[in-house]
Amino acid sequence: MKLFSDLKKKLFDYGPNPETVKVEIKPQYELFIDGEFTPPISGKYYETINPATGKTLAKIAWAGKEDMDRAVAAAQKGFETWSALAPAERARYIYAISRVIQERARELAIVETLNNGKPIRETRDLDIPLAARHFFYYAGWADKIHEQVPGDASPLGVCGQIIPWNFPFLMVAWKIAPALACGNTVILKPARTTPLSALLFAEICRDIGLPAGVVNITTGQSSTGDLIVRHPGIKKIAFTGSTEIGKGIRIATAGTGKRLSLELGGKSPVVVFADAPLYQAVEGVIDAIFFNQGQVCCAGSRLFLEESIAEQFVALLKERILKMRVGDPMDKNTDMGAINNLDQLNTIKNYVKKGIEEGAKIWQAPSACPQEGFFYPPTIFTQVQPTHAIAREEIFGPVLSILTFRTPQEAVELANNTCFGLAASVWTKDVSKMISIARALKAGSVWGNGHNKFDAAAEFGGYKESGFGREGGVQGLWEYLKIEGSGVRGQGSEIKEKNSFTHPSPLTPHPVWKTPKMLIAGKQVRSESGRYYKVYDHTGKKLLANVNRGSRKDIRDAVEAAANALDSWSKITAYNRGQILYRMAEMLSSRFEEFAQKIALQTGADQQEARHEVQAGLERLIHFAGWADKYVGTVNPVTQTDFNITYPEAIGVTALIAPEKNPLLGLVAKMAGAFAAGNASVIVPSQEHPLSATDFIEVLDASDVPAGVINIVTGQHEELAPVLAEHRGVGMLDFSGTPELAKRVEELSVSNVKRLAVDTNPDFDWFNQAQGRNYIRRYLEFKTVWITSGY
Amino acid sequence: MNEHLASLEKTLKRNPIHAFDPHILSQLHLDATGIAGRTDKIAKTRTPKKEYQAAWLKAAVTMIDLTTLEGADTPGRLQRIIRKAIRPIPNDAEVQVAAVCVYGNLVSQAKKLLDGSPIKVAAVSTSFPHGQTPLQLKVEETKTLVNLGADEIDMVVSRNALLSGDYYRVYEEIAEIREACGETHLKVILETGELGSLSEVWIASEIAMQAGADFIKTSTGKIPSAATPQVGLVMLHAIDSFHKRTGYQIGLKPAGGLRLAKQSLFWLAMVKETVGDEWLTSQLFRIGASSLLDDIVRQLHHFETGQYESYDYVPKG
Repeated sequence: MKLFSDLKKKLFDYGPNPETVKVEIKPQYELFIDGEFTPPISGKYYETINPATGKTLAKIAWAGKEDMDRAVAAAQKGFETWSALAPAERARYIYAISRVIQERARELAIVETLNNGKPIRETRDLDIPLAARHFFYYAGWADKIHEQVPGDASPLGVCGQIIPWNFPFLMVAWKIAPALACGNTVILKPARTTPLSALLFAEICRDIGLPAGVVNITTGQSSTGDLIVRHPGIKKIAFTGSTEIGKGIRIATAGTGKRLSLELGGKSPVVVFADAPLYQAVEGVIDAIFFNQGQVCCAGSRLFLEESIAEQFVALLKERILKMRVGDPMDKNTDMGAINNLDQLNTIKNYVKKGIEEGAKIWQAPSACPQEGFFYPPTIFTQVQPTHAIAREEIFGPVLSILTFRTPQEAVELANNTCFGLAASVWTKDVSKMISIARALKAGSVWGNGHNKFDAAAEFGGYKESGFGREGGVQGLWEYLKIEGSGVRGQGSEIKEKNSFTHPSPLTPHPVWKTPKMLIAGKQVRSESGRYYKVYDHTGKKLLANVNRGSRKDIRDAVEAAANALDSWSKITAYNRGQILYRMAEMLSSRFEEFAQKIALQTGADQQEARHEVQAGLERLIHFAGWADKYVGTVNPVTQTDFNITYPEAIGVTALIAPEKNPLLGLVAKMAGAFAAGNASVIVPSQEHPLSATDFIEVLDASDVPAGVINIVTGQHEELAPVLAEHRGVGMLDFSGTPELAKRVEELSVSNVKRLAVDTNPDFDWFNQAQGRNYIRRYLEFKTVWITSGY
Repeated sequence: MNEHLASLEKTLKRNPIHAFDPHILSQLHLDATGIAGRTDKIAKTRTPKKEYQAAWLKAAVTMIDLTTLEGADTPGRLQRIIRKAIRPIPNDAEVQVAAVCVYGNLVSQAKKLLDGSPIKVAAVSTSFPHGQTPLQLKVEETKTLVNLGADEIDMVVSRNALLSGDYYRVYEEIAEIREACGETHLKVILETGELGSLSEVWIASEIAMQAGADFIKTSTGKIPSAATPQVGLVMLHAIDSFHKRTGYQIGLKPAGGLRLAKQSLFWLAMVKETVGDEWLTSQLFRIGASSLLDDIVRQLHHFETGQYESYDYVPKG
């Protein structure tokens, strides 16, 4: 019997609190293809280790080319079965997966911690339960997709999914759950360093009797990922990982018509106002940057403090950090475990070194990290300037950069001053300030008085170079569906031979010689280059006009004008945007016959056809005028107590390359869609038939369009489209044109991981498509806002 | 012995009555969701095990205000409670509770029974639990109890005044009771379950500390909603910010609904993680409870023998 005096030396330490359940890890794991575990044809294996000890856990198969061909063939065969199942039946399988994840939760948590290095309490309380939740959530969607997505929606086929090492099992769920719910089959490659939990997932698929080939797990190193990206049998690539690799995938898939969703890096801001709930904000910073050792794409790695509280806040933060426990990930009282791998540890060390060299002031908790394994202590930098590498680049580790601001406006400017846009948090008791800042921050997820909260019902994904596409929520379904009218590349529109129009009716040319201008920043201008090109009538004989041949610099000016217009444009209500579009329709209507004549003259369409196009243009303007205030968001029933909303926002500057066909309607459809969504646009009209567009400038002039919101640059598509595609100030490019130019545009778009809509079908039906909810979606970005609730 | 245990003996600088500062009351911002998240995190990631746990549990016993507050309390009942206070853990004579907490008419008897013991006698005052009597009576009551030898006074705040926004009256009442206490220590019961929101809990805590409270206490134990983790965390933040601002250390006493050994471990961990180990003494932390002790005894039995214990084998208080 121990008396109190015998025990007092234990006060008040927690002592060790290890996870005691033992799990079996096999010495060697094979590939999971066609419903069974199978040795790699490549014959190759590599070792996976426990980053907390450096010890080898198991040998893992390394899939090569022949293995990938087998996997794709299996997935294609699996697709025939899977996509033909009744949706409710698919739901039952997905449901079974989530149930078995719950049954094996402890085992999965332990394996995840052993292989990843993150604390057992995180795998136990977050990674695994949230993974199960994703399968439950999308099991529920499987038989309701047609109620949610208007029009004709069908699965894409075989999806290739490449996931990172920071949330190995959760990413399996984020990727596979929606893909299966929509009727696709998948080939998933886990990260090189963290394959084990995905292999346990393969066992689960086998055990519940999931049809063969529906889920294939091909472990391996980066070469295996590359095989997925380049495989012609794969219809979609879903990637989560670094921006650098994401850009490589964008280039590799350019021109192939593969669908793509990218969830990339971040440098997310945490904005703390003087009226913030102070203690919760301090805890929020802990959650933001030290959760998962800071190896979180949405980690709050930039802390912006209002100057008046900076000193007090940093003192409290240090005090709080001193209470953190870094060490054995298998101990239930551990807050921070091991960094996942040596490369990453070195990256972190290099950034910290750079931070010190650049003049920021470092502070680290003196608590010792374990000697073996890859550990790094919680680290904060003060006196960080926006120019420092540690304030701009993703470190992916427990390193916080602290900066200050003076006004809400400055906070937003500093927070948005980054190439990334994955997430952000804003801390204040003032709810109207919170909402206004949340709206101004360019990020896919914004947490009010919180950070790093996730749920299956809430969308997650990036703005800007943090990628595109959404995971979770209703929007997550769109990534795995072929949806009629959405006009997104890879929707299966076949490229057909170009129709040749034969229209005899000669028309009289315009009586007064007219100099077509371009529209930049609200002014009708000529190209700065002084160049022009000749535009002839449909017979090719009669010169209609000398049209400005816009240059790089004109594009530069137009994008500049659009960007400058955004600030005030974004404050205009949706209702007002609609009003302006109605006004355009009025102006167009009063010049109906003139526009019809011009179309006929240029394209050779007969009078009836040309009038039909003008009529369609008019209707399209009215159509989108109505949409301006009707594209609504959702309130998401998340499992947290937070009030959670996902709503569409304008992307910002959109570049619209109009089709050659239907020179008025094609232009109007794109312009009105982007306008209704609240973007500012740079439009390159039909190259062969630009005069409908240059005439339309007069309509715009008369319609109260704010200067810079619509800019029109005429010229050669080959020359202008690439400039727009690589311009970092352009958030989205809506391209119509040849497959060759489309490929080039896709490659160049990596400059800022631009959103793309690509249409290479010369017979695209502008009369019946390019409208409606599915279409306008391409001009929108989805933001998910979490607001705490309680008192 | 650890440093923090040595601090058991140290003399705290006693919190005086400060001037009323209403300005600060409008700057106490909190977020209820964040508070719940933090308490949840502490509960899930800060658990001592094995002999560490045994040490913590015994330490927890030394911080208990063993309480009986029933209309039916009799001298006989009091005797039982006091025997239990003196020997809370049957096989460890080194442990005693911090205090017994009783109604005023039992103070004399309690003092007599505890003569020569370091165990304090705490008496509830100010028309506990409702506090709905004139201030004059509350002051009289307090003075009487002090004269009877009460070591500590547990008063209730006027929720009536708090909820109607009359913060000055709340302050004034507490300050007057504090005057009436003289050298006797004052615990101010906020009755958080009646305050309506966590923000109001912080405001009430701040007012009590400004008015000279030695301890702030969550609840009377007479209404269902009592010492929730969230309320505790808010009060700890209040204590921390008051300490940083003024340099005075105020004690915390959760009371009401604390029945399980596990709960006492959680509260100790929460104190440790917020205001720090310095607060983990009976001078700055008390747990108001009665049946909690029985579960702690059962858990200690399990620690020593590896067998689970029944309440039947734990002597009643």
